[in-house]
Amino acid sequence: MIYLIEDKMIYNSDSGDIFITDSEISEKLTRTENHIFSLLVESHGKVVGRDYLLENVWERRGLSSSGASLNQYISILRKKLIKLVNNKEMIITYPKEGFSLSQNAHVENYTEKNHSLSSFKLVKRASLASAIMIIVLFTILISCVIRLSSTQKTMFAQDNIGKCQLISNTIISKKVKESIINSIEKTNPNLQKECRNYPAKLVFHYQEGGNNEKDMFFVSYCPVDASNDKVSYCKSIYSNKWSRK
Amino acid sequence: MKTKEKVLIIASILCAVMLIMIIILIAFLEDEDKYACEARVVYDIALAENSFYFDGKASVYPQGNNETGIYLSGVIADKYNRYEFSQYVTISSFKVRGDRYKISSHKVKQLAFDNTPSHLAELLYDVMGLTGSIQSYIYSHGDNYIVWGTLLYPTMSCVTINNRR
Repeated sequence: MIYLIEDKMIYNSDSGDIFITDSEISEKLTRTENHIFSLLVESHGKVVGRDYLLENVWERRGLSSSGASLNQYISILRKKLIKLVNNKEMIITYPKEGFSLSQNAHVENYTEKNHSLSSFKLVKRASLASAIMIIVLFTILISCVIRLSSTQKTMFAQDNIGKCQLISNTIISKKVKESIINSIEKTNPNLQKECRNYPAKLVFHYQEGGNNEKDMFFVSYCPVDASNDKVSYCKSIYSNKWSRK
Repeated sequence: MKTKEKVLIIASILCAVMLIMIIILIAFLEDEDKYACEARVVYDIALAENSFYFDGKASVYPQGNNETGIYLSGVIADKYNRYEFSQYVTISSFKVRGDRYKISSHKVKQLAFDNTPSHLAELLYDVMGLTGSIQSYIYSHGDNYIVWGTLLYPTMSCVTINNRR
């Protein structure tokens, strides 16, 4: 067990080590000294009888005890404590009764305090780490969603020509649709026949200029394999021509 | 169960989830830049200063380090002559934002049987947006094809090889 005494002395009752928190001063209690002191600390503020001490410290270990030895060890302990905390009244003598660790001396169980402190710090740190992780997870999730939405973007699917799906950058009126079919048939004369029988994707991109401007169109004919609904190949045509209207 | 153990278990689960998410994200982002695809292309350009006709095939092979190799083969013709075209062009590009890419350099390697004059080949590369004069742009992602070109117009629908998409 580890105790904090007078807010600056740490006492390990298992090893008998005593040291001052804010200096390099330390002491090592002998086995007997440690046994006596640990009994006094455990019963902080209460009188520990002479007979109790003699029996527990000496007789139970098969050693012969005497009141003089006890007094001598108490005296040694006092000297060591004075050296460490400069407190002459830490061990109080009750003549013919026994001894006690002064009630005025502040003693607390450092093991429990330290454990609860470390648990509190651990929970605090883990909460912080969890919060950071949740933020990172959220960011990754958002990135995935953005990535996914951008990979799934398409141009406008406007219309169908038979089994062919027409995908275009412009809104297609009936008149424009006819114009598109004419443009595509220039490069693929069998388009309407093929679209009647086989599915395909037709990607069309068109820019119309004014008078004395250039007309530009891009068309891509991509037959679709009906067994797996995937494009088997694409033939793309990009035409950019000066047209005097 | 003690608080300390609960915290450690929750933290471990969160760490594992985060690790999995990072792996998925990396795989997801890497996949974007790893497609190889093929396209059949025809360019019919009839402008006063730049007129040519190209009918051929383009095969795109990403090479890593933001480099992409494009093998172009077919026939190219200007007003007077017809030439065999067989060239391998390596482009370096970087993502500007979204689906916009800037091509920073292009290196051309003439292959066997190619007899196209360099100025005519450069016209083709310029129309395709491979010279970097206009930013490249991915217009549309289909299930296994990509429509890409320049910011001004698409230049090809490219079907991914091995159905990676």
